[in-house]
Amino acid sequence: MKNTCPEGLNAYFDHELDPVREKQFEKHFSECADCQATLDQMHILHDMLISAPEPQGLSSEEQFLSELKSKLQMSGQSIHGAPPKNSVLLGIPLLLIFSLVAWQLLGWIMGMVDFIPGLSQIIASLFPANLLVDAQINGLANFLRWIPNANILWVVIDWNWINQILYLVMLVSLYSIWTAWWFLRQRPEWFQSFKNNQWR
Amino acid sequence: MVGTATEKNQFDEGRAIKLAQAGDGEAFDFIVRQYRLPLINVVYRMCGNVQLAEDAAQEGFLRCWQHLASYQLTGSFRAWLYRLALNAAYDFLRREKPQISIEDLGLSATNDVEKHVSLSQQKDMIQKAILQLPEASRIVLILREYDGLSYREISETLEIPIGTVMSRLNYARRSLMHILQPVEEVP
Repeated sequence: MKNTCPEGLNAYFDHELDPVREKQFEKHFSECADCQATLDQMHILHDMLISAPEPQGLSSEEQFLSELKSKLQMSGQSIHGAPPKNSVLLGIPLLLIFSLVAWQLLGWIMGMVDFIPGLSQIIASLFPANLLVDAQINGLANFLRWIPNANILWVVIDWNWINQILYLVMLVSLYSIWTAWWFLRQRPEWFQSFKNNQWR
Repeated sequence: MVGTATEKNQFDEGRAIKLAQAGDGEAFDFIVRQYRLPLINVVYRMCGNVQLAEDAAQEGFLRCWQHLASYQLTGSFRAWLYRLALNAAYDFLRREKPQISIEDLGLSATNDVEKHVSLSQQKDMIQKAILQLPEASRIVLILREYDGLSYREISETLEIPIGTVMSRLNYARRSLMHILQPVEEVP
């Protein structure tokens, strides 16, 4: 090819050019024997490649499908059932945590439930004491007088930081286990590699 | 559910994908039947090993099922599926590289162009020549020549720019022309 030859001979050969450029190439071929020769070689090469041997000794289609289904079952999934949705798998732990927080807030307002030990005290410490006491005596506590022990629970302050920390650690651990499980489910081949000590 | 399993005599690809995304096993079967051979062929051209090609194709379909629910029907499904199978093949090859060499691929080892080159020998030599290309150029050539993927689809499959597709294809063709030169000269 000469320096004046347009670039993109491969694109022309593969029909990847727009019609205008194609016309330009065709005009060029009539004047350039080099490009014409290269194009001819490309055709010969294509014919040779197409004649390369097909893979021999393949398993039948049914056998292939049956092995695939077995592998899917081994990886904990079935071909007959919806594939896992990432949003659902991620959403479940988030929903659980959200529910827990919601219950805790409800419990804190009602003064009956303290799912996260010590949380009530932390929240209490965030507000000015007078405001909280006023709220307890004149506000919610009066309103919730029918609930047994509501007032008592509001006033008792137990700074159980260790419980608080342990509880958070537990939550983080559970969430990590869930995430790891979800991740391995998404990429079982990594788990397999790990099992086969391929990461060493 | 997008449709029922009994309606699927006239599956088209888009419909089959949507059904499979909704968990329809028969639609997924259809996709597997549709793409089994193309996937095996691509991997076989890439590595020259039938068993590995089948394993990689199966692994590709396995990953396809696992990720199908989150697959967005915006790009080329074929390109995506090819990428999954090729990545699986690369994983296998990385693990098994020491055991696989061109010499072990069951190809005849003749290079003697003085002798009459039979058709089967010539085919073997073509396969061998393909395997001599650098991996990056080889796969571009295979996807183009054997599967007829457009430059854009190749670019999506391999996650490389179209310009890189073009330069690798150009390199692969020129190298092959050079490697196969003696064969062409045989009367």
